Amino acid sequence: MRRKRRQLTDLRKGVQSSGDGDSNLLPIMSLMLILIPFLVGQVAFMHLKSISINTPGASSSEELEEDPKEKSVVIQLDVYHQKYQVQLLEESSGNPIAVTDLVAGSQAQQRLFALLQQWRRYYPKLKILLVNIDSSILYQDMVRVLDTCRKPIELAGQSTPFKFKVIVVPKEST
Amino acid sequence: MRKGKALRNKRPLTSASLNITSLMDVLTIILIFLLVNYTDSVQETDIPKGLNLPQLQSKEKGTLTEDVKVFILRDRVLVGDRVIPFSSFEAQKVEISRSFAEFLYQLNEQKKNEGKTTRVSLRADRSIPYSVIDELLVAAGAAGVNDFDLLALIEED
Repeated sequence: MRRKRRQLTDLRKGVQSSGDGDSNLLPIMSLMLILIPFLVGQVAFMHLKSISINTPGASSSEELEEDPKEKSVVIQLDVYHQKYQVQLLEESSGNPIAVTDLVAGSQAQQRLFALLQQWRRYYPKLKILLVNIDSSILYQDMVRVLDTCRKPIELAGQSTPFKFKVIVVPKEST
Repeated sequence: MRKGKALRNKRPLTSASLNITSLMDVLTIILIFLLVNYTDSVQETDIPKGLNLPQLQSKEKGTLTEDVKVFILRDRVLVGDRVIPFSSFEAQKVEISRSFAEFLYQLNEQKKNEGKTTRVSLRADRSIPYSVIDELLVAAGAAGVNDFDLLALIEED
């Protein structure tokens, strides 16, 4: 009875009860109202990626250092609808050291990347990847292949991952 | 007299309280969503209507270069403020290439004088065949531009 009377007096006086479920959420609400507009301004609903490539000619990109002691090799990748032909060539003579055909499909990108990794680990001087693309290949497929070629490769003893310098050889120039 | 009685019988004022728990729940969900999609560098780029960029499955986001933007659509090529329309690329490729090369040459010369290099950011529709890209790469090479960035959208998992 006394408790009930006290509650009534408190209510008349405007005293808020400190019962369960009545915690003051207003400061959190104020914080939310500041945080949400800020985050909405910073949010990206679409993420973009750019793949750096070069064409033959005087490029402004970084120069590759030469070591005369090592054998100089390059990779030539020919992209067709049905297959990717990957060749490891001796740079001076153009003679193939190894040739691998990969059947285009869902696993082709992974196999291509595994091959590039393997060759790069075996030939430390290997830095350039020449790409020839068939005229009928769509831009979507071309970008997928070039993205695989530019994937970073983790090498032992190097803090920064290695990326091939991709040179797309235009058909009209050949 | 009646007024006084009415005042006396009036129920005591109760403190108005608003239940904001459900609102807090909604705001918490929004906050989590925004924090997941938060990026420290906002990549702003304008993409014309009708251009569907190719999609890639990648974890790496990379940085965008906004040097010279070239858009290749099914019916036109946009380079800088110049629009090169075409009905058939194959039939008009000589004129398109010439116009493209001229624009890039002027721009490249201007940049050279400023001691800068030109890098082309290529944004082509995913259905464009390589023969079109090839033609423009050759034209850019003739204008002295050999560095390109191909733009793609990152597919969400």
